[in-house]
This record gives sequence, structure tokens and C-alpha cells, in this order.
Amino acid sequence: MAMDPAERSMILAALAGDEEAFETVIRTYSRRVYVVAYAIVQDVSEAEDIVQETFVKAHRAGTQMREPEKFPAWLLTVTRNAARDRLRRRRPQASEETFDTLADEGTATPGSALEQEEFRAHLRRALGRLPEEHRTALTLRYLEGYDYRAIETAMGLSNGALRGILGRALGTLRRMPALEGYRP
Amino acid sequence: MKPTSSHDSFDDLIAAALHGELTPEERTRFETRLQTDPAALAAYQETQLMHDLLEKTHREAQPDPDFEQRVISGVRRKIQHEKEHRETPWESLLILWRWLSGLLLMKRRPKWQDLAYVFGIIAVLSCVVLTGVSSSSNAARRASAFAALSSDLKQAQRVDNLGTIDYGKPIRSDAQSPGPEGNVRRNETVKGVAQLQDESGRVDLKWNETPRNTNAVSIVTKHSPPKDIEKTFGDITTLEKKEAALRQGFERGGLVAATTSPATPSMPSPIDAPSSSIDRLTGDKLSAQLAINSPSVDSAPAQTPEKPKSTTNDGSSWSSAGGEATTGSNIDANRKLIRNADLDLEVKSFQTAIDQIAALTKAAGGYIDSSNSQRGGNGKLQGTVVAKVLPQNLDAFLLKLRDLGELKNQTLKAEDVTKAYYDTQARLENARRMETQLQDLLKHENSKVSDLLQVERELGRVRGEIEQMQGELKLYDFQVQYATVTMNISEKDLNQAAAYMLKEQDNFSLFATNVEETFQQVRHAAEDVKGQVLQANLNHNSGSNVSADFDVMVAPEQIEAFLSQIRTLGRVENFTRQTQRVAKDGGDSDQPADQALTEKDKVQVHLSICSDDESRKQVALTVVASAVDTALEKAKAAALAAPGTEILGSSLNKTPQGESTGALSVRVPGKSFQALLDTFRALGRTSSFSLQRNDNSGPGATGDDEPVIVTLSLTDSDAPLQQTEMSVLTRGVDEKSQQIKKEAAAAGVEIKASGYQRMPNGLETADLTFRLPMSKYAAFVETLTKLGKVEVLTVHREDRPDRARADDAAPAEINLRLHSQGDIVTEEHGLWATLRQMFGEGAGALFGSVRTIGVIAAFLLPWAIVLVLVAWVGRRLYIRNRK
Repeated sequence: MAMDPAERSMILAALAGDEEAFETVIRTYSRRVYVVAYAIVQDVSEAEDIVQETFVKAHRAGTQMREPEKFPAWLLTVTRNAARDRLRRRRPQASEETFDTLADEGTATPGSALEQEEFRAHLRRALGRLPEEHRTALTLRYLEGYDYRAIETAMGLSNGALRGILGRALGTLRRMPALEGYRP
Repeated sequence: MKPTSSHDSFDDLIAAALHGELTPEERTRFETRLQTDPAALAAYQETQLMHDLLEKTHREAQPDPDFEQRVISGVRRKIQHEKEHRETPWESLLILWRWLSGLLLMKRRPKWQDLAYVFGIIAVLSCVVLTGVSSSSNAARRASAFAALSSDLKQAQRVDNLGTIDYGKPIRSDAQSPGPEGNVRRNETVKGVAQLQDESGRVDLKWNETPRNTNAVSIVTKHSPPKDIEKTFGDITTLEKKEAALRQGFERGGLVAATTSPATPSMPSPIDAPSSSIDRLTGDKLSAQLAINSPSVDSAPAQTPEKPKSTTNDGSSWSSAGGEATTGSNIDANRKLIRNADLDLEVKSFQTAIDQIAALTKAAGGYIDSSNSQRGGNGKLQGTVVAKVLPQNLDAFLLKLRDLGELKNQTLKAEDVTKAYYDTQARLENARRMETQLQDLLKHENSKVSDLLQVERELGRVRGEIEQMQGELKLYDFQVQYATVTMNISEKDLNQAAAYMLKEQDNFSLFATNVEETFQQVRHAAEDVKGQVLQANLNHNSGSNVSADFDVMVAPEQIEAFLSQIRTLGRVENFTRQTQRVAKDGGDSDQPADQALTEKDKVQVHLSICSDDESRKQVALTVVASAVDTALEKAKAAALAAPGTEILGSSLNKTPQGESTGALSVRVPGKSFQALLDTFRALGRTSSFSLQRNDNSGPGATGDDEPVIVTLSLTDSDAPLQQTEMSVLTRGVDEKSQQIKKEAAAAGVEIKASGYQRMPNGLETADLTFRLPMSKYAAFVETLTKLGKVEVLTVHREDRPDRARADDAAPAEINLRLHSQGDIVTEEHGLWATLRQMFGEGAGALFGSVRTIGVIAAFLLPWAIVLVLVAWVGRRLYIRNRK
């Protein structure tokens, strides 16, 4: 897809070291980057950290990049890798408290705030166990409010594939043992 | 409970139904299934719950409006941190050396990580070297660019000789936490300075550069003829010739950002002149300044900005006149430039100028915003007119204003508010979005009342912000729509005075024999000429001294009559007359006064009346007499006996040491003066005599019968004729001094002072001072020499010119010092004394060092504790952050 000339110039200036153009690039792409990061790590502050890390890398790599058209895709790839790195680093700690053990620990009374908080923690972990593609689709849908066509474009999927992914994602979540039987 | 397998197509339908993505056929099929299959309905209901939960969870994860700003600040901070904590080459070398030494000593076996590490360090070092090379090549690039720029300017200005060029270092580099709008920038400034010299004078050329942001060129001439500089300045500001040269120069030097894409609608033009000023200094000297902006893309907003409503700024003369610099009106259409001009004009007629300005303003599509005027005491007018004109007509308008009179000063400024404008616009859009979201929240039926109240409050705050930002945008629009021209207009010779007042002041001293009588006479004289007495004081000072001050204002036509009357009253001295011209209306009194009226004001006369005694013949003599009080009485009796003599004052003082002094002051008629003086001289030996006579005094001062002031000083302390210093070495100093005192008393020699001293080393000294008549001198000195070995003998004699007194009776003074030989060896000797001393000094040094260590510890310990605490807290924080 051809890039808007204004956007192209902005990216060029930013990569050449123009601080203010770089700021504009951050303003333009940071939310997109955030969504990708959040889809993977499922944690607000970690996702924000990854966004910053990604733009620092972009700043560092600035002058080496020749084609501004590839910049958005490069940015998202860097984000994805950074988020996966985080997840890998986090995993050894997370594996110690698995889903089922956590589910049995509940001492909170049903409907209390504590219970809701606990449930959300379960939900986040459950999302973390979904395949990355499923998580991304869910995030684009729920966080950004994209319709199916927008998600298809962003992820490069067909309508059928996307329906399958979202259907499977919601189905899997619904059937997670820790979440089963939850009534808010 | 579980109506489906791990996955079936009904899950997809449920998801699509919840997301509102079902086709009509699918919806029909789906609803039928729900009605017929309770398990499917249960699955749908559970998924719907999950869907709601996901929506809620994700809503909380949505980035807030400050998200972007936070990211920008974070990125800036991290980049800055990286720059500051980059490993230095020395650190790299040190690590490399440690690694190599470990390897060489075979303390560890080489691993592949080590190899990677070596390569890494080599890469870092290479980068450092390359960076150095690249920065030096940048400097060279700038220097060559300057040379090119100079040659362009040289051609245009016939410059023969180029001065020096100097590049400064970055003067500021900071990345602060963002302000309210997060617009704190990192600035690095490179300065270039050059001097251009031609036959007509010198031109200083300077520029400051903030990388890819602003280049400022200022041209300051000190001696160039005004027309030349005005032409140069005009050329540059209108961008007819120099703009291209300057731009090429800056581009060659890399001082202009690489981005010059003309197609970007939100980009500013590559070269712009947002501010310029021209100042007329004294005489023919002028200075001019021009700042040029290089392109920056800061104003490109993330969201597509609305097309500005104002179209007044689309063809600003700065870029439209620049030929090749023009990059299309669609670029400038989005620029937000506020243009202002200030100028000082001197005109012949204020009113005519105002009328012409009104007409010119109307022609330039503007209006007069405000005007005021004030008339000075000399009838001249001055005032300020503020006009608003369309920006594209500003330059023509300013040129036409020059025809109205002489331009004294002109400043032209353009403030680029593009970034601020679009920033505000973007923030406004964000705020509107937030408002919509908040409104949606309010519609939510299940919300609690407290939540709703909080949302309401937030909504109020956001609306306040929206209104404020809308106001800001409106203000910007208005400021951009019209350029403001502030004209300070004054009529020629504004400060010239209309009339002057000549003020005269006479000062003099009047010497009279009877001050009080003269004072009264002066008052009568003043009354005779109808003078206005400002001040009249009669002062009785100590003794019989009387003086008076008199201040009177006399009409100018009466002044000579008054002064001639005063002159008859006594002797006039120190006469001064001051004349001062003062502008009547407070105007400038230095302006030529060909046309102005001059009036003479009343003359102020200030005279001091003094006693004439001070200026008469005065005699002062000092007489040494053995009995001062008797001599004083005799002198008084003699003075009283002389006819017409008046005693002005007398005194007698006695000190505890027995010395007496006396003083007598008399006024003697000239005839009996000599006889009295002889009587005074007979009282003793005259040690000093002085006579003072003011021969140029006023009337009557030279006559012999005029009184003479005689001041007699009496003293019984006569200076010795001969002074002797003696130093005698002897044993038993104390006994010897007692002995000599007795001998002196027996011989009738006066002992004036004596003292005795004994030092720890056994040295004794005694100091004695004797006073004796010269007749006894030789015999007494002989007695003294017998006391011991005479080491020093000094004699000083002052021969007097008056031989009236015999030498035998003249006083002599002898200062004698008796002293013994001190002990050569001290009592502190021997083995024990040495050991005691040694241990004592050792212990002293030990305690001294202990004390020093204590002081150092007391100084360092708190710092050490603080450092340890900080390190501990830092480590805790680091560990927590890592978790």
C-alpha cells in the first residue's frame, strides 16, 4: 500500500534525527505499538514499557533505515519481539503458580471486590495462555474497538479465519477451568 | 453444560453475534438454534458474560489521553540516559586488559563468549574512533560552507577581506521532564561568527544554530553608510538576492534540515524570515538583524488538522518574493505566523501624519486599533498609533510609512505559532474524544451514583479544558489574521523649550569689625531695595567669635544698588556670580534658543558676615618659663596695663606629670603692640615666634594703629640641648642601678624615669633617664662610665640660634641602659632533660595525630552513612523494578 507523502516525509525526517519529527512519529504510532505489545504481555505497564523500548530502538536504528515505507512494519516486529522476550523472562516465575492451584486458593466471598480482582487476574492469565494470534485478535477487537474488516487488514487474515480465531478464543476462555462458573 | 466439542462452528457464530458481525441469514439461523437448543443458549449466555468481562478488562487497559506524552518523555529520558552512560574508551580498554591478563595467565579457559566480548569491545572502540572522525569532518564541512557563504556575500557587498571564523561548542544540552504541554526540547547550539571588511566599514556576521530547527543570521554594521546597510538589509529581507545565497550556504553546511519536501501540506517552507529588525543608532550608524528559520516538521500533527479558516497568511511576502524559495501556497496555508512591527517616526506635523496613516491603513485592508497623543509644554505633539493590517500588505505598508517622516527605529517580528496551534488543536480533539467517552459512560444504566458523580466531575473538567483551548485557538486565529504595527510618532524638535529663565546667584563674604552691627545694616539695605529675605542667621560661636549668614532675593534692576551699599559696610571677599539658563516648560535647555524668549529672574544673594579679626595682623609666640602660672599672671597684668588692649582668652593646664602649659590671646592696638611683645619675651626663653599679616586686606587693615592679635603660649617643658644614649655592661645590675640613683640624687640630677627587668636566661637590664643642667653633665657622665664596661655612647646636641641663655643652664638628658651578660647554657640540659623533652614532644605529636584522625572521621562518617543508605535504597529499588 502506498504511503501518504506527508507520513513518508515525517518518517524520513525522524530517521534523519529530527527530534520533533520523531515526536510526531511517536504520537502517530504509539497506540498501534501499544496494542501489539498489550496483546502479547496482557499488562498495561509492561506494554507501555515495551512501547518506550521500541521507540528507543527506532531512534538508535534511525540512520540505518533507508525505506520509510517499511518503518511501520519494522516497528511492529520490534514490538512483537520485545514483548515475547518479556514473556519468556516472565514465564519461569509464572509457571510456579499454575491455573488450577490458583483456582483452589480462593478465600474470597463470591461477588466481593477481592473476588472480582482475583477473577480478573485469572482472566489475564487465561488470555496469556491463548495463542498469540488469538490474543492479538481479541485485543484489536476489545481494546481498539476494530471491526472485523479492520482486524482482517491489520492481521492479514480472511473473514473466515478471523471468525474461527475469535470463536475459538472466546470458546477457550469460556471453558477455562478457573473461569468456569463465574457469575459476576 | 458443554454443548460443543473443543471447537465447533457455533462458537464462531456466538462470537460474531456478540461482535455484531452476523449476516441476516446467519442471524436467523443463530436465533433458531438458540430457541431450539438450551445447551446452545447456555453457551451463548456464558460467552456473553465473558464478552462483557473482556470489554471491561480491556477498557481499563486503554491508554489514557496522556499516554503519548508519557511515551515521548520516557523515550527522551532513556535516550538521554543511554548517551550519558555509554562506556568510555578507557573503561573498555580496562575491561579488555583484565580479560586478556586472565586469559594469558591461564586462569580460565577461553570460551566463545569471550571471543564475542573481544569483538564487541573492538566494535565499540571503532565506533568511538569513527565518531571522532565524523565530527571533525562535520566541522570541516561547516567551515567550507561558511567559506562559500562568505564568497556569496562578498560578491554582493564588494567585500575584500574576510575575518576569522569560530565555532562554539554546544552550549546547552538538556532533556527535562515534560512541562504542561511536554514541549521541552533538547537544544544544541553551534555558533558561527565572521567579520566582513570592505572599504566602507566592517560587517559582523553571526549565526546561531539549533540543529534542524532555527538558524539566525544577524548582520551588524558599525561604520557602513546607512544607505548601504539599508540596501543590504532590504535585499535580505525581501529575499531577492541574498536568500538564495544564504540558503545555499546553510544547506552546504548541513545547517538546514535535509527534509525539504515541498509536497507536504503541513511542512513549512525551507527558508523563512520570521523576525528582522533595523535600528538607527547614533548618527549614520545602523544595525540590522534577520533571523531565518530552517524547515522543521514539528508542526505536522498526528491527526489531520482542519484547514485553517484564515486565509490571510497564505502568501506572506517573505516566501512569495523569494523566487526559488517558494514552495507552494499550500504549505504556507497551514503556517501560523504572527507578524508584528514597531517603529519610531519623527514627523513635521503630527496631525498630518495621523491622517496619512489612517488612509494607508485603510488601503492595506486594515484598521486603526488605538491611538493616543499628548501635547508637550512647547506645543509639540507626540503619540502612539496601533494599526492592524493584513499580513500580506505589511511590507508595502511599512515602506509607505517611511515617506511620512524620518524613520528612527524599526523592528519587525514574526512569531511562528504553528506548532503551538496544532498542538492545541490535537489536544482539543483528544479532549473532545474524552468528552464523548465520558458521555457514553453517563448513559450506562448499571453505574453507581457515586461513579456517575465522578464522571460528571471529570466531564466538567474536560469541558473547561475544551473551552480554554477553543479560546486559545480563536486568539491565535485573530493574531494571525492581522499584523500589528505599533508606531511611535513624534514631531520634530519635540524637546525644544519655548522659553527660558535666567537665574543668577551671587555669593560673597563680608568682613567687618562689628559683625552684629553690620548684620543689622545689611538687613536695612535689603529692606531699602525691597528684597525678599530668605534666611538671616546670627551665630555666636565659642569665645567672642560672631558670624552671620544672609540670603536675600533682589530684583534684577536693584541688584547693583544693593551690592554697592553692602560694599560700604566692610571688606568684600570671594565674590562669585553664577548664571544658569533654565527651560521654563521643563524642556531640554541644551537645545538652541534662537527663537525662544529669555527672562531674567530675581537674583539670589548669599553673604556670610565674618569678624575682621581673623584677617588682621596676627602674632603667635611660645615662651619657655620655669613657672608657667606666675608667668601667665605677669603676662595678663602687662596686657591689662597697656591702654586699649583687650584680653580675648586665657588658659592654664597642668598634667599629672607636673608639666604646665598656659595660653593667652589679646587684641592690642598697633601702637602698644611692640612694648607688650617685649614684656612677653622677657618671661622666659622664646622657643618659637610667628607673625602673619594680610596686606591685601580691606580698608583699614594696613594702618599701624589697627589692632593686632597676639597669642602667647607658655610652657615649662624645655627640650634638652644635649641627648646622650649609654649602654653599660656590668654585673649586679639591680644594685648598680640603686647605687647610681643615690649618686644622682646627691648630685642634684633629676631622675625622669627608671625600669628594671630580668629574663629567664639570667639577663638583667635597667633603663634610667636623667635630666640635668649642662654644667653637671660632664661630671655625671664620668660617674656613669665607672659602673662597668661602656658598650654604646651616643651624644646628640641641638645648637640653638638664640644665645640668650647660657649653655650651662641648658638642660641635658641621659638615657642609660645597664645590662648583664645572659647565661650561655640553659638549665634545661643533661640526659634526663633531653629524654623528658623527647618523650614530651613524641606524646604531643601522637595526640595531635589522634585528634586529626578524629576530626577526619567526624567529617567523613555522616557522608559514608548517607552514601551507604543511598546505595542500599537504590539497590532495593532496582531489585523491585526487576521483579
